[in-house]
Amino acid sequence: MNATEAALALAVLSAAPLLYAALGELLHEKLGMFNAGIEGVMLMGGVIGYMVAVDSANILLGFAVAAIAAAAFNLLVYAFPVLVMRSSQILVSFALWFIGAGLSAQLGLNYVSRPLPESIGNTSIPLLSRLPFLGNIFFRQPWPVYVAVALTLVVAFVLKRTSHGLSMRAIGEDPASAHASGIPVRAWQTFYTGIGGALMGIGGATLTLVVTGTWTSQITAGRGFVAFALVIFAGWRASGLIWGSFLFGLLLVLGPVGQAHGWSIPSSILGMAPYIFTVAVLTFRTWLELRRSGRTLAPAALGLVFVRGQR
Amino acid sequence: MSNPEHHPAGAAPTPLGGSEPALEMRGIVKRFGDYTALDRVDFELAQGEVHALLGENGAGKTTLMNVATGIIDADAGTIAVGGREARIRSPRDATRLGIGMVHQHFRLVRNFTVAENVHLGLGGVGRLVSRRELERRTAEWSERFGFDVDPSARVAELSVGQLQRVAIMRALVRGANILVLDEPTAVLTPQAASQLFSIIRGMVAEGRTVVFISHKLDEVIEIADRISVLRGGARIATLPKEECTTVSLARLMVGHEMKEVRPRPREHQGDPLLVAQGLRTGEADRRGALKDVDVAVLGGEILGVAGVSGNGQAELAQVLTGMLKPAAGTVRVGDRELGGAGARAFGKAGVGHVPEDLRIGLSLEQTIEMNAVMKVVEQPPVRRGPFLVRSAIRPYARELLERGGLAALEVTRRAGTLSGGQAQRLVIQRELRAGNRALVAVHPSRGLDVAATQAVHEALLDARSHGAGVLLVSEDLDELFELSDRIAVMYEGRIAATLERAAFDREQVGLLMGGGGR
Repeated sequence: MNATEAALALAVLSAAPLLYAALGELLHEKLGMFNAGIEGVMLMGGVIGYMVAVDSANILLGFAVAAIAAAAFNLLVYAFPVLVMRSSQILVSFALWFIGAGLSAQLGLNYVSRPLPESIGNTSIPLLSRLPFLGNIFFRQPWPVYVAVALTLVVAFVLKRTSHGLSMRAIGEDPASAHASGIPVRAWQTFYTGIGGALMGIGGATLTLVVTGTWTSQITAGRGFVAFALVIFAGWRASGLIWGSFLFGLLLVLGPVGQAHGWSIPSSILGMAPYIFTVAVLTFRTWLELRRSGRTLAPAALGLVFVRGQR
Repeated sequence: MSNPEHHPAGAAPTPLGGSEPALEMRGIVKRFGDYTALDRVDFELAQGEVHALLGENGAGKTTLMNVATGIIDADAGTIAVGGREARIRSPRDATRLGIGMVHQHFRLVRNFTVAENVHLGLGGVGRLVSRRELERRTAEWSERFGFDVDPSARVAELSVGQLQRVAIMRALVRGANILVLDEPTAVLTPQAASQLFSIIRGMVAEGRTVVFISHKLDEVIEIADRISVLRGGARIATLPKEECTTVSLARLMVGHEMKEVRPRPREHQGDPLLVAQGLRTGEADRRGALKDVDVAVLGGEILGVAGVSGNGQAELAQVLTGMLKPAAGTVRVGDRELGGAGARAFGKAGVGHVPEDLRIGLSLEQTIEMNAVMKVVEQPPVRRGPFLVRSAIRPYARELLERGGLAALEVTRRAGTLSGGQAQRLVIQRELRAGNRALVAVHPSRGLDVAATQAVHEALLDARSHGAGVLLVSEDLDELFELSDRIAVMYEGRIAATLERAAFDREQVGLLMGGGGR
């Protein structure tokens, strides 16, 4: 594996936490809710997964508990205020972020210097891993990378090709009409906040258990916001998340790679790349789409509160 | 004709078709707070009939059907479907029992295709759907009833008539045996309406039952087998259509109790102060769009505007106050042409506006005095240079309140603390003072109690006797008959007729409101 291949393989690995988190966010937004507190849920998943993996010496158990804990956290701190108490999705998102950041730092205090008892090795995909160039980049990765891509494809399929996916999209487009069609709007919103939270938590756990193999407070370093932008970048299409996450992953590794190769651009500048790109996406993506097709790709009722009997 | 008011509830004549009624509602009561929307209503729907529910706004037609389709719960009463007692707590329950409703708002997802909308919410979690399959099935339904819509079209791009047919198709696909259509023709062009009628006949030919909610007399007689008339939340009569004429239905719909119309001489035979010609608004097939309206309000008169809501009255009032720019036509205030001008120019030209919604008329967070001077803040003495003159505001406000009989009010209170009647009187006084030529008042006494209504009426008559021209939009015929010098009746965006006070006749107005007469 040459240096370019190694850098690109690292980019793909770094994409996995983003992909999980963005997939979780997509499940929120397709059902009309936006959750800008991804960062907090990722941190909770990251720290709890790490703690469980260290204490039980079982990484898989770490992932499982991280998923459940993050789902519970997201349901309690996000879904309950938003769906039951009708609180502002913006304010609750910030609460989610702050609580997740503070709580995870506190929980993980004693785990900062404790190493993982084992690490996940790479799994080579038969045949495909022998492809020149691509094999080394895409098909010799730890299994959570493959699972992220597979889950994204499953979500894409469900959204696009099943009647349930049609119902999900209808909730995000027009909850009142969905309700009038007999779709239990709030029940599905609650369900997918749980699933979405679990995915964000798995994203955080992938970061701590696979990508870095360590826990420090605020380890996500803004990846939750990058994932938020990724959903917009992908035009709310699940399949678009996959290559979008690779692109953001590439930007994420620019800093370390540049440093390792002694590029003349300061690595602190390179390190800003994903965040600058995030800002650019948030600023221009919708504008570009409006100019191109005359409408936005966002679910029409995104962020609107649905109260039964009102329109 | 014997008095149809006292048909015993159970004696609804000539049920058609099968032995068990398709739907039977008994003693339905629905209250909203103190207001009784439905008062022990009995309603029976025979299998395979088209049954029209006729009544004015607020008669309870839609409320009754909302109970039948589980959108709201009744406070009392029982429902039986096909002879069996049924509990209908949600639209899902209704769907399961084969009852579907097509609302005035069609409740379609704009960004979805026709096929997606028709099949939305059907089937289990795991069912696969291919776009092509959905479109093929939709095309079958479309052909069977002559719906004439492209299954792959995005709903946002359809005409109103097509939207309605998609909504009907959606109900049919869900297995609706009883289909409730809420004011289905209110939004339709005549062509689309006749297409709808042939669809209804097709559905009935298949043995389905249709409830047709309407206030239009002609079409009710055209399409229905039986007609139930509601008034004030009670069922007044159920008649087979052979026994109905537009005149008899209008009488039932509007009611008998006639208040005597006192003759009243005009105090001023004024010049036209507010004149509009050839007004048109919006797309021609939109509900309430004006279609070639001429109107002239004379000084010293109250011109009443009657009509079932949504027939263009709101648009007319908006155009005459500069809130809405007409697509065509001219508006003159005195001798000034104000066609495309905004609300501010109309205000300056002396047109006052008492809007339908008090939240538009008042800034509820501001003090009463600031609200009182709102229309004159750009004029001395309230304005001096770029500054507001506090010392001028208060006396102005006090004077206004005094005229409105509100002298006891503290002017520094928030306007949001006023009662509805006080707020309305404040707005009327302000608009009269600022707009001394003409006053456009939309439902000025709606929701007010008797005393407050009286005060509002006095204020309007006062404006009239001071030579202003008053345009009064109201759905309350008693109010219009009492106050107006002339009444213009609007129907489908046109003024169907204008009656002089001497010719006021409740039956005639009721007919005109329902599209009959003339």
